[in-house]
Amino acid sequence: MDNGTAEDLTLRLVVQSHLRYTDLFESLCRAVFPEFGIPEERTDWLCLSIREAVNNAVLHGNRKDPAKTVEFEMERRGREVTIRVWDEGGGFDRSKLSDPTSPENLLRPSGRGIFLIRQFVDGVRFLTERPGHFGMEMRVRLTGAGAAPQGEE
Amino acid sequence: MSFKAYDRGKVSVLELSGRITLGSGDVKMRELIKAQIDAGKKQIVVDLGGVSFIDSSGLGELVAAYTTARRNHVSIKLANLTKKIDDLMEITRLASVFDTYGSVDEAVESFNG
Repeated sequence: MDNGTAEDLTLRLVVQSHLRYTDLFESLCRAVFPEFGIPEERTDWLCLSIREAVNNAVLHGNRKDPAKTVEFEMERRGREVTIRVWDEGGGFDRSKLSDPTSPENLLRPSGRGIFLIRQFVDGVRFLTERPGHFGMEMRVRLTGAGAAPQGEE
Repeated sequence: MSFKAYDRGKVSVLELSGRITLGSGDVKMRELIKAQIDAGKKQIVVDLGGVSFIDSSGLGELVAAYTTARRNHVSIKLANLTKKIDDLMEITRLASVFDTYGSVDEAVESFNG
């Protein structure tokens, strides 16, 4: 963890792509969130979002290939925390993401992960510019903490 | 995740505790509910009071259990949802799918009413 200034903070972690590490990501986040200024009332929701992003990276991005890696970055710059989860997959067609709350999808057992992430962070962006990697970026504004507005860039 | 199963008259109660997440509790919950259905139970209450954390996979398994139950003419009701799980049910609109009750007593009683 690199603490350049009192406000700026960066954490990076790279692990083999396996679901057994999802708990590790959550434990790590719970430990460092106070250092990043994440308010306690958002901790469970952000941990849920990170679990969903990591699980997606392992299952869908890396297709359960343990030879691949999941990379995790968390940065605080001023009053914003940015969390990125990278896999080694080719991404997916965002236009095919369906709304799990629509009546025709309510009884589907899957398809709620990214929807939940969008509820609990202040912005979601999918990153495709890095060759051989696909990333999900989640932004958390530290002002007005407690609110959980939705949004995607 | 840990569990306790018991009967309240004709109603089967599954009391779940811990976390229901991908690879840890989600499949177990599905198997527990399916075992009740396979045993011929027609009225099931799932007590979520001790569940501290649930993810999209856990929610998905609840939905899968609900549809399996419905196919088998079995009724599943949820009881004792924590504030956070209640919030998740509202956000995902699964609150419109499940009958939820503040206590196991209320859920059991609803089958008798």
